[in-house]
Amino acid sequence: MRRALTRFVTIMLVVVLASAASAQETATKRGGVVQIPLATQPATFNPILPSELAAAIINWTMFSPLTAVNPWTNTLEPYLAESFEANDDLTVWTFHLRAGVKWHDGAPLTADDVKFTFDRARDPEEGATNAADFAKVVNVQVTDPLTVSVQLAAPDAFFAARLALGGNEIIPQHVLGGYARLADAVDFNSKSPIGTGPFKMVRAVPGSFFELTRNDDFFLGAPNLDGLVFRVVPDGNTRVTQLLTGQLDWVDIEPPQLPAVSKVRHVHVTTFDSLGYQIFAWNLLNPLFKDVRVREAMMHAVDRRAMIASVSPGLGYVDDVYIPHAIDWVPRPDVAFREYDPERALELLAEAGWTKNAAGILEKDGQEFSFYILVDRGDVQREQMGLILQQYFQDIGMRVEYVLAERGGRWLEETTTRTFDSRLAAFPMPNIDWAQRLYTTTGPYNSQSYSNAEVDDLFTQVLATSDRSRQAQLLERIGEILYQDPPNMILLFRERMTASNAGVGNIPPNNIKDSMPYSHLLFRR
Amino acid sequence: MAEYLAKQLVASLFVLFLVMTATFFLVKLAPGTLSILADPTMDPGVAASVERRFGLDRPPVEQYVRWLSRMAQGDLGVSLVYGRPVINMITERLPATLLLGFAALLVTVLFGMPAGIIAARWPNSFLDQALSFLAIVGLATPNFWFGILAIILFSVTLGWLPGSGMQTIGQPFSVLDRASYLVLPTIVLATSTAAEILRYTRSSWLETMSQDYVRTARSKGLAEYRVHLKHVLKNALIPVMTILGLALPRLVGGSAIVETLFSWPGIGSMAVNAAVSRDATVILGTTFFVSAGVIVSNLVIDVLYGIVDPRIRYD
Amino acid sequence: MFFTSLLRNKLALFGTTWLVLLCLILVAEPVLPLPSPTRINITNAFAGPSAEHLLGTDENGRDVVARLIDGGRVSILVGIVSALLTVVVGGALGVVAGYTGGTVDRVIMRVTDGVLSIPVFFLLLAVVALFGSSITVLVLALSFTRWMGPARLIRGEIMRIKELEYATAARSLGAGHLRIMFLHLLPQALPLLIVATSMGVGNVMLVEAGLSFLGLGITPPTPSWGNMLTASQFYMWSAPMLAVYPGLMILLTVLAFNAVGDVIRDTLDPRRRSGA
Repeated sequence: MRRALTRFVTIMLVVVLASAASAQETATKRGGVVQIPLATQPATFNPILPSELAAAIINWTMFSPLTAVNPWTNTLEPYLAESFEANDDLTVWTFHLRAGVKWHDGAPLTADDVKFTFDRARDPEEGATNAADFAKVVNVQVTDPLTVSVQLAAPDAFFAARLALGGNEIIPQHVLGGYARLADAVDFNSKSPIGTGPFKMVRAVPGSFFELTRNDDFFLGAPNLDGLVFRVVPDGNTRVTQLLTGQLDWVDIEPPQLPAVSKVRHVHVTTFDSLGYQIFAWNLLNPLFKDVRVREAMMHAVDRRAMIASVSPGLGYVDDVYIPHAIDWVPRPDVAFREYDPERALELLAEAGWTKNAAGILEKDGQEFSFYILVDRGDVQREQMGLILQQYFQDIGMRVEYVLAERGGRWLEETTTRTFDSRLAAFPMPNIDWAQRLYTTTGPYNSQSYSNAEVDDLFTQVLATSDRSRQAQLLERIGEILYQDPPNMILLFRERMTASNAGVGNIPPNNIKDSMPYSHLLFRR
Repeated sequence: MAEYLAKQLVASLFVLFLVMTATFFLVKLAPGTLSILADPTMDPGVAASVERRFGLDRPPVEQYVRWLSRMAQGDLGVSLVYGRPVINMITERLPATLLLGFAALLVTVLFGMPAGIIAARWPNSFLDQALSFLAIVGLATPNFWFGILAIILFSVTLGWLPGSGMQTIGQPFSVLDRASYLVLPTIVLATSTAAEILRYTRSSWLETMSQDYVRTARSKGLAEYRVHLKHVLKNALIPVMTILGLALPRLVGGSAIVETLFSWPGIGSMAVNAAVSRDATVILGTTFFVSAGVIVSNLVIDVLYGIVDPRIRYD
Repeated sequence: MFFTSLLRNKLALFGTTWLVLLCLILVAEPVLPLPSPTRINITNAFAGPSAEHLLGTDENGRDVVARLIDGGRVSILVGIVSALLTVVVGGALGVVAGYTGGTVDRVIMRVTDGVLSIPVFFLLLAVVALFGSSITVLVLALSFTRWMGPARLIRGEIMRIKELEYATAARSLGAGHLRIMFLHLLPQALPLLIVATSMGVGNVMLVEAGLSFLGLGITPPTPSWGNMLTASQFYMWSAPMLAVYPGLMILLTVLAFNAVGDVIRDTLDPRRRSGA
């Protein structure tokens, strides 16, 4: 079986190399249907309302945001907005809409729809997913039927980029304007959504499948496919078997599932940088972890390279910087990765006052070094890394408990109240804006309670400049500080895989969700 | 007998009320929140507004009173995740579960009972041994494991049967198409109940055969088949019926796993999803539906008892 | 002999041997010269069978044999304790209800129906969410949702046999109710009770496995055959044998409990032993 593993790693390497070639094809064909799985029944077909992955996927094919990220190049592109610009101090963003865009019911799209969408999204009573994105919005103004400007309370260089990340698609005022609350539009939300996207809903069979047909009037050109079918398939292994039997055309897969598809002729596997990372986060409110030397020691205590070779063979990398290498315009700060070095770890701990007692456990002032690692149930890779970390920390003399908890229960409770000892989490970083969400004192993703005045100040400067090189300079400095005063330990910069039927063209090197705004380019060979 | 049934019904409704109350508080007392709000990055104001909207910010007792008065008017409420009336969600998924459940029940009865009788009729025969072995293996296999193996064998390797969903999308409805999707989940769902029925039918049959009155009948020289038909059949079937009554909720419970594995869009997979996402109104609504169904089916079994064995008295 | 058969003899022999062997191994685990079941060694993940690791290692380089034994202790403990609780509670209620009849019967049976009509999986999830899916919680939750089966079964059986001549005779001779219930009727229902217990252990193991599949079983890192089987599904394409071992352990053990239950029934039932 060890040989099987070696072969497995070799396959992975071959796949990685092969994927580098994938590029957008222009010689396409019309017709055909592509079947895509959803793990759950989508919560709502209104993209603004709180939902989960399934809704995010399907809504992006029916609704259009003002801007979108190209899934091949990971660059921001205009979408429903033909162009956009900001004023000098980055407090007013103006969007120019494409002319002649029609809703699926034939009504024309206007700037009023955009204002309607943004106003509803920032109304806390609506409970919109991205209400936080609109926290700085003071006013949304329609200047003419195709122009809308958004006034912000503070400079924000990334406002247009945020609109590209899902949950900000434009919704029709002429359909939804009559409802006091968006949630009241039950038919729209569950059966008959109306958007401006490349596909429109034909038939919704809740819990089973959703049949979408092409929108010939789509503003970026009519889709190549006749339609899309989204099927609810809750079990991960069933999704893989359905890909093998041809009942599904496109499935995001995890490394252990690769052997199932790698030798199948009609399945094509693509790898991509997911622009996110798995982290081990200390609760920095906990006195145990306040000392930088302790955090540094814990980083030296874990053989992270060996760990990723085990949990994600051939996919992904680890580094002690906080911005993915794929965001290549940010220079990597000149810092050394904290290699596995248990002796160095013990030295650092000794400097911090922790020495082993008779039982072999680290002790300081009569207190043993004891904490738990909180892991949310469901992500196998994270569950596995939690166990491995427990082992490494135990090996240097810490008492460590491993707590696996339901996401909606103890995990959420302790994360929001910031009462966990330490936890594992996945942080996405689709663009640089997210770095400040994670590492500024008041950042919405800063559950680890990291607080560094210099970092806060530098991020404020990043938000206030649209100059890339200036941003890059500031971010490099931020990277240096984060290295010296680590907010968390990065375990893995994730590279992921998606598997698709070779008969389907223009599958981007990306996950299903983030590819959806460009689903009009998909075609059957 | 009508009076007896009326009393049973009243008692059942009372118990249903107790069950629902217990479930209500169990769900309410559970810590945590709706899955769609289980996002630490969500603005606290947003979560609060969703909670206000559904009255989740109220004390549990007040929520209970409101929920009860709505239930009394026949309103199961609105799903906290989907924002739709729960009754609509149940009714659109009920047919799929009923179809799967009845198919499995049919397999259970049509395979399990005759097989059990055959095994008991010729104890020790090769057939008896083969059937009993099949039953004992069927009862010992985790059904999702069996299901996964079945999918890999029949769907992936052989390509005979579809392994997920309930119809070929894009094709008009046809009985054959539906049946092909039904085969694997039905077999997986019915395996344990059919095996159980087989075993109980066999053991009950054999036990009845050893009863004094059967021995008497045989010693009186009654033809063997008449002994079986006249005396054994009905006496042997009483405990079997109890098991059959229990098989109904077992099938519904089992459907949670089978529907999840086979992407069958029924109540079972909806219930799992609701439980995981803590959608209280859907949990309560499906609980109510399944509970009511079980109570009715048990009443029917009580009636059947009386028919099979008139000596049982109704007090 | 009428009731014993070649198959049953073989199964009984297998079942007894398997369970005795299993119990010995599970009890002797602390003194067995085995690698640690929790020791992670990621450089040796998915290793094949070797002298050190008889069945190889899992995704974290843990010894599969040691983990199977460790998981077996948990699974069998959960199975036996909750099956016993189930049958004791259910059997007692069933006898009382079946014999007494009338209001007592109605009350007991309505409560039984009521509990029976709670979809087990919701209840288990709610309980797990409230208290975490520890072994104690799971045993209690499983027992609470499963005593109704034996209760109904025994009640049906008691209702049937109490009408038989010897019960009526005992009553006419002036025997007390308790005496009739537990001395005259219960022995008659014992075979069913024993079958219920033996199958109960197996059933509980299967339910735990099913719960694990839905993500609600015993929470790792506490191992059980159920959660090992579920975890291994993720690696079924790269290391299929990992799914085979716990699956086989469940299958064989459940099968053994069922077979042994049958044998005990045959042994305890004098009428059966004498044959017809």
